[in-house]
Amino acid sequence: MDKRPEKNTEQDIILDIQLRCAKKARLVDLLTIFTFVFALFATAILFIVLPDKTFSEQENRALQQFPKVSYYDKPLGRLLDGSFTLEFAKYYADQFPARDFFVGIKGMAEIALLKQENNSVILGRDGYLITRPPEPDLSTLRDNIDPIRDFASLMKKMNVPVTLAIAGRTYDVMKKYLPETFPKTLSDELWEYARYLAGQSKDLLYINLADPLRAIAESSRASGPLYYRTDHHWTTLGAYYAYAEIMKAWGETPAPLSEFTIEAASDSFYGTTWSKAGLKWIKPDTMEYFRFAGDEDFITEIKDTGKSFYGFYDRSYLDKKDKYSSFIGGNNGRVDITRAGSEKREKLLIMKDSFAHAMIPFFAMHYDLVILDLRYFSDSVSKLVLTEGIDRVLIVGNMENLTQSVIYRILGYGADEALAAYIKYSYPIRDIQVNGNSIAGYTIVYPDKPGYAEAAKTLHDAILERTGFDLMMEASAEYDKFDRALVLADTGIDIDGLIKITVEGDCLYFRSTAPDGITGVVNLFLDTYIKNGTGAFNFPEGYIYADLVNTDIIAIMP
Amino acid sequence: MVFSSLEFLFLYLPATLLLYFAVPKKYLQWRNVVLLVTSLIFYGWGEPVYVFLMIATILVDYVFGFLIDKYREAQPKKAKGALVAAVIINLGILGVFKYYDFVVSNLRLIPGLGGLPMLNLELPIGISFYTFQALSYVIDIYRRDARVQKNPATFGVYVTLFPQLIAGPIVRYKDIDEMLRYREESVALFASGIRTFLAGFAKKILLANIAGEIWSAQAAIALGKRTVVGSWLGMIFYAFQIYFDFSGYSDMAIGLGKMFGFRFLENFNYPYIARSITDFWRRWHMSLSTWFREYVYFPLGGSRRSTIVNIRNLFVVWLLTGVWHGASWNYVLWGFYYFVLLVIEKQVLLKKLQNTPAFFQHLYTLFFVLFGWLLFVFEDMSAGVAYLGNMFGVGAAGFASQLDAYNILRLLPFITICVVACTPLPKRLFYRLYENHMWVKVAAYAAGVFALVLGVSYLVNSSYNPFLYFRF
Repeated sequence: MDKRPEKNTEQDIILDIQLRCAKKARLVDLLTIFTFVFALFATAILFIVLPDKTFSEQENRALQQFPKVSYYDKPLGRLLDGSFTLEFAKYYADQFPARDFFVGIKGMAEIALLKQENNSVILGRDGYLITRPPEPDLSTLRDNIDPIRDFASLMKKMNVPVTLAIAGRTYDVMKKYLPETFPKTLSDELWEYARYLAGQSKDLLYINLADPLRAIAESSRASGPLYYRTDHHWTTLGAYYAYAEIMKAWGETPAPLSEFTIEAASDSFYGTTWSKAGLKWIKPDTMEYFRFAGDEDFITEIKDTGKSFYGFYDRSYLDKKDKYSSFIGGNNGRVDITRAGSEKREKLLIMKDSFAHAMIPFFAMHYDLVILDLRYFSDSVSKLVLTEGIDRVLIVGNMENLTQSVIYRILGYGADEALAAYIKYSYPIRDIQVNGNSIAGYTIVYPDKPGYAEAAKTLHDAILERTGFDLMMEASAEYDKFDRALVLADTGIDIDGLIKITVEGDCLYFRSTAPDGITGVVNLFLDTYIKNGTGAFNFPEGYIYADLVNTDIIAIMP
Repeated sequence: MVFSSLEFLFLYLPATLLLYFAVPKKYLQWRNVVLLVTSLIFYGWGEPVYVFLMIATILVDYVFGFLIDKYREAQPKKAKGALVAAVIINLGILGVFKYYDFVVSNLRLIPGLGGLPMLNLELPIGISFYTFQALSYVIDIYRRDARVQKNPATFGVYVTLFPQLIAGPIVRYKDIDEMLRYREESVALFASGIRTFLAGFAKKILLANIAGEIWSAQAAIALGKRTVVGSWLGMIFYAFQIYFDFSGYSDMAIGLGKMFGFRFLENFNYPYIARSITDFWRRWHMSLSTWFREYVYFPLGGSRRSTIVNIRNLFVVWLLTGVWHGASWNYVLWGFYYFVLLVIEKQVLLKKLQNTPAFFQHLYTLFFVLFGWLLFVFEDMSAGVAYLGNMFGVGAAGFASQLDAYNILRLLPFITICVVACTPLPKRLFYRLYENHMWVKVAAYAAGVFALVLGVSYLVNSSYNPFLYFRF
C-alpha cells in the first residue's frame, strides 16, 4: 500500500471520513463523476461537432474563427510566439456552445445576488436598463469640443452659424428610473464642463438636450417614454422633443406633434443595453416612426454605398436585431436627404452620431440635409461647407460618445484651405511659404542690419512664451552653415507689410522688407500653429498667404 | 493554460483524462508518461518557448540527483559538490529570468554603471514554483529523505505535473516520492477530487474575479477622487481577491491531483481567521512557508540558537519570501514588514496578545495583514503611498460618496458570502453532517453542478463583449 502523507490538516481528516464512508456514498460519488465527466466530454464534443459561427447578432460583432497556425513565411511562427494560443482561447470562448444561455445565467445570478446591475448596466425601475455612467473623461470631452469651437469661429468668418447640441444618456435623462440608492449627480461636473468649454466662444451656440428632456420625462407632458428601456438611444418621441428644443433655440417654429401619425414599426426591439446586460427576461421595446404627409417624397441617399431610397426608413433592418439602424440606414459617413422636386431650401449640415438618426425626419421637413458621421468620414468638412453651399451647421452628439473617443478633431482638416478659398474673393493676397518640423533646436538667424535684431528678439520671445523653447539667436550673413534655422532675411517681395516664409533644405525662412511685418506675421503664425505649447507644427506642402495691412488672416493654399 | 479557462475544462481536461485512464492501471509508468506529455503541452500552451527551459531544468536536476545519489555514500564531497552545482544552476536560471533586470536597473543608479545592459526577458510562468520543486528533489536526495528517481519520465512528472505546475502548491519531493511509484486512483478519491476542484473553481471565478473587479475599479479611480470608505472597500476586496484566487487555484490543483491519484498537502488553512501574524503565516501559502522552513530556516539554525541568530534567520527567510513573490522593491519591503511584525510578536507581543479578547486578536491580525497587501499590490510605491493616504483621509475626496453607499448596499450579500467563505464554518458544518445524512451528499452533488454551471456562465460572460459602436 502507499504510504499516506501525515495528516496535518482538517481537510485530510475530512478526506478520510469521505473515504471511510465511501461505500455509503458510492452512489453519489458515481453520480458526481458521471455528471462531471459527462459535462466535460459532452461540451468538448459539441464544440467540435457544431459548425463555427461567423457573426453574433446579440453582440453585433464578428466572432473569432479558428486561428491560423503559421505565417506563410515561417511555419510554426504563431505557435512559438504564443499568438496562436491567445487567439485559440478567444476562438473557444466565441464559439462556445450555448453561449447566450450561459450569459443569461450569469445575468440572473448577479441580479439574484441583489447587485442591481450586470456588465455595467443598471437594472432600473420598470425594467429600464441604464448604462452605468463611467468615470467622466473630461479630457476627451475637451478634445472634442475644442475643435468644434475653432470650427465655429472659422465658420463665423464664412457667415455660417454653428450649433452644438449634446444629447443626454439614459442616465442623464431618465433619472426617475434609477434605483433609489444610485447617485443622481454623478455627471453634473461633466455637463458643467461641456457648457464651459462650448461657452468659450461666442461663435458657437450650445444646447444641452439632457435637461429639457429630463424635465419633460419627469412631467406629465410626455405621452410615452423618451428613451428606450433596452437601448441606449432616445425614442422617436425623445428625438422629437430634442428637435423642438433646437428649433426653438434657432428662433424657428417646430412642427407640432399633432402633425404626425404614429406608426409602430416594431414591437420586438431589443437594443444594445439589453444585449450588454444579459438580463434576458426584460421585455422588448416598441419602436415608432412619426409619419407625416409627403414623407415618402424624400430621397435618402447614402453616399458611402451609393444606395438610395424614398422616405427615411430602411425597413430591411426591422427583420434584424439592429432595428434602430432602419432610421436613415444606420451609420454612414455621408447621407444626403432632399425632397424630390421641391424648390431649393436652406441647406443644413448635420454632424452626428446615431442619436441624430431618429431626429432626421423632423429636420428634413425644413431643410435639405447633408449628414456626416465624422467617425466614417475623412474629407475636409470646411471644404464641403463651401462646395455644398451649406447655410447652417448642427452638431449632435451623445455625451457618451463625446467622452469616449475623439471624433471632432478632424474638423480642423483643411480648414485653412477652405478659408483661403473663401477669402480669396474678398481680399488682395500675396504668398508666403512655410514648412518645418519641431521648432525646438532651431536657431534664429537674422541679417546684421538695423531693425532686424529687434524683430528676431520679438520672434524669440514669442516662441519662448508660447512653447517654452529658448532658441539661440545669431546675427549673420551666411545662412548655409546652420542646419536648422529660422532665418530672417530681407530678400523677396518688396511690398510694405508683406512677409515671405520659404523652405530651403531643412531651414525655415521668414522674409520681409519690413521688420514690423515680421513681428506681426510671426505672432499670427505662432497663434495659429504652435499654440498650446506643443511646439510641433506640420504643414501640408503649400503656401501661407498673409496680408498684414488689411486683415488678420493667414491661410494655406495648395 | 490556466484551470479557470474554458479550453482547459472542456478540451484539455477531458482529453487528458481519456488518455490517462486509457492506459491500464498496471502500467503506472505509462500513465506517468501520459501525465508528463500532457503536462508539457499544458505548459507549452502558454509558454511555447520556455517549455524547453523547463525540460532543461528537468534534465539538469535528474542528472545531478543521480550523481548525488551515486556519490553520497562513497564520496560525500563529490555529492556535496553536485548538490551545490545543482542549487547554483537552478537559482542561476531563476536569477537570470526573474531577478537580473531588477538588480541591473538598481545597479544602474550607481554612477559609472549606467551602461549595464538589460535583458528584458519575459518571466516564464511558474518558474518560481517549479524551480523550488526541483531544488527540493536534489536536497531531499542529498539528505536521504527520498530515494533517487531513476526514471527520467517519472522525475519529469514530478516537476511538470500540471495541477501544481503554475501556482503550486509547492510539493516537496519526499511527499510525493511514494505516489510516483505507487498510487491508487479510486471512485471515492476521484469524486472527492471533483468536489475539491469545483470548490476551488467557484472560489476563483465566483469570488476572486468579482472581488478583483471591485478592487480594480477602486484602484483605477483618479488621484484625489477616491474616498476614505472607497479605498478601504477596495483594499478589503483585494484581500478577498488574493485569498480566493490563490487558495482557489490551490484547491483546483489538489482536486485535479486527486483525480489522478495524487494527494497534495493543503496550501491554505483559513488564514483570515488567524489570531496573530505568526498564526497567519502558519495558515497562508503553507507549502511555501514549509519549503523555506525546511530548506533555509532550519539549516541556518532555526530558533534553537541565540536570539540574535534567530532574528538573523528570520530576516533571511522573510527577505527571501518577499523577493520570491516578485522582483521589485515593494516585495522586499513586504517581506521586511512581516519580518519586523514576526520578531515583535515572537519577542514581546504574542504572550500579551493571548490575554486579550479573541475579537481583538482577529482585528489586530486582519489590520496588519491588510496593510501587508497594500505593500504587496502596489509595485509603484508612490501610488501605494497615495492609496494609503486616501485610507486615512489624506488627499481623499471626502469620507464617503453616494456611490460608495450604493456600492456597499448592493455588495452586501456578496460581502457576506466572502466573509463566510473565509471561515471554516460552512465546511465544518457540512462534513459533520456529511457522514450520516444522505441529503447532505445530494446537496453536495447539487452544489457541485451549480458551481460548474455558474462558473462557466461567468467565464463565458467575460468573453461576452457586445460591440456597441460599430455600425450602431
